[in-house]
Amino acid sequence: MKIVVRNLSIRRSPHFTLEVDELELGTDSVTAIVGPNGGGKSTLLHALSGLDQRMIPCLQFDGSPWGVDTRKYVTLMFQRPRLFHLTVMENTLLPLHFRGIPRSEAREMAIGTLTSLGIAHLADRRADRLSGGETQKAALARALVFNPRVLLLDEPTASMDNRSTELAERAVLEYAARTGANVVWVTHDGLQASRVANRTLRIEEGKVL
Amino acid sequence: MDTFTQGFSSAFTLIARFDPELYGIAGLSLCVSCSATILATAVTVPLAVFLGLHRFRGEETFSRLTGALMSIPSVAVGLFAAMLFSRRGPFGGFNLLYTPAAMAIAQALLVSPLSFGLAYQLSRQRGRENSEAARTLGASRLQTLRLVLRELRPALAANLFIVFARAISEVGTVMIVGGNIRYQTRVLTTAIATSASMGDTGFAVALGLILVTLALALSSAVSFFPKRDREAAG
Repeated sequence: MKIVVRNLSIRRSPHFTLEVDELELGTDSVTAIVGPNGGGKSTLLHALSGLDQRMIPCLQFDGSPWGVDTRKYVTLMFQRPRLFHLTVMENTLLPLHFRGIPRSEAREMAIGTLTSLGIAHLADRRADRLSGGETQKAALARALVFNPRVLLLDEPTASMDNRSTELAERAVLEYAARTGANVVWVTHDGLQASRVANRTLRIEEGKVL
Repeated sequence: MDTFTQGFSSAFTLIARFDPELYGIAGLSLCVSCSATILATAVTVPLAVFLGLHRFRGEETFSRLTGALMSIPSVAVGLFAAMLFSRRGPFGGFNLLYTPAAMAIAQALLVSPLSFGLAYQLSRQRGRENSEAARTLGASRLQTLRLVLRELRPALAANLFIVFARAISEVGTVMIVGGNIRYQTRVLTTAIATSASMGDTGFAVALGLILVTLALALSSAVSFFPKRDREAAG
């Protein structure tokens, strides 16, 4: 799903405005967004997710404006994962439940995704009992499980150890290759950007360089 | 030292003997404060959650105002309620002044800003976060609302205890609106003030012990909620 952003302007404070005249994020690609803290990376990702109603007119998905169903194909994994007071399995099943997928089929899909991220053994653990890294993996599993066509990841491996980071990167890249999804990955790590992305954008002081 | 010994000794005797006046006062206190809490939360919580989940112009100012109103002095509310219920006031025809009903309504007025403020801040912060998370997973409006309410429920319940604790421990409002009439509108706080001023230390200490026990029971109840719900609740 190709995303085009036009004339986006988000004023966060008197000293900071994110401005994007035109930006195209193509299909079959993983785009890394790098840049210093407070540069506007997360703000751009938030805008792309359609959560800010005012920014929706600036977005186009495959040539069409944001429609009623677009929400079904676009997901955002937040920098601070927001898992619900449920078990990991129940959290992973939620997006499938929202799409009306039968429970047995949904469960199979959830187990497959949790296994690919190495956290199948945490399926019955409550979200508030997870470590930071485990929470991020569970949030990533929840974002991947329903096959979104646009996957927006805000520093998804920030709290993970090396082994988990490797697993997460592999899972996302396999997913992108399998589904042709458009992945936008915000990271501070330049090396990670070069490992996962076939295009890297830099954002500084509210400008895409 | 004698004051302490005698005070506590006669207090324990009154409690152990199930003194009818003592327990009548405690019962009325519970009844008035429970009614006030239910009345206040039934009105303010749905409104606070609705406003907390929606963005609107001037919400920063509104948020600061709700914060400021949470610490409104109880005597000011008592005076306002007394004016409402006085014979020449707008609700004078109901003859509610110096009745437990007026005390419950006045306490409800007192704790409403607290109830509203706690629920509003909770919905504005955690409610919005949860709402955004649900929407990124493809939830419909109804599914989002159900999930958000489910997530906020424990913290809202913890807020209920905080509101009740504020209601049962206040003295100014019930003193003005209830008149502290023996066997009719005398509650724990007003009875403690009266007994202490009349030198009936034993009775005052017995009432104080009941009030402290209730406060501790409420604190313990709140501590049973998960940590993040306790932190989210006031």
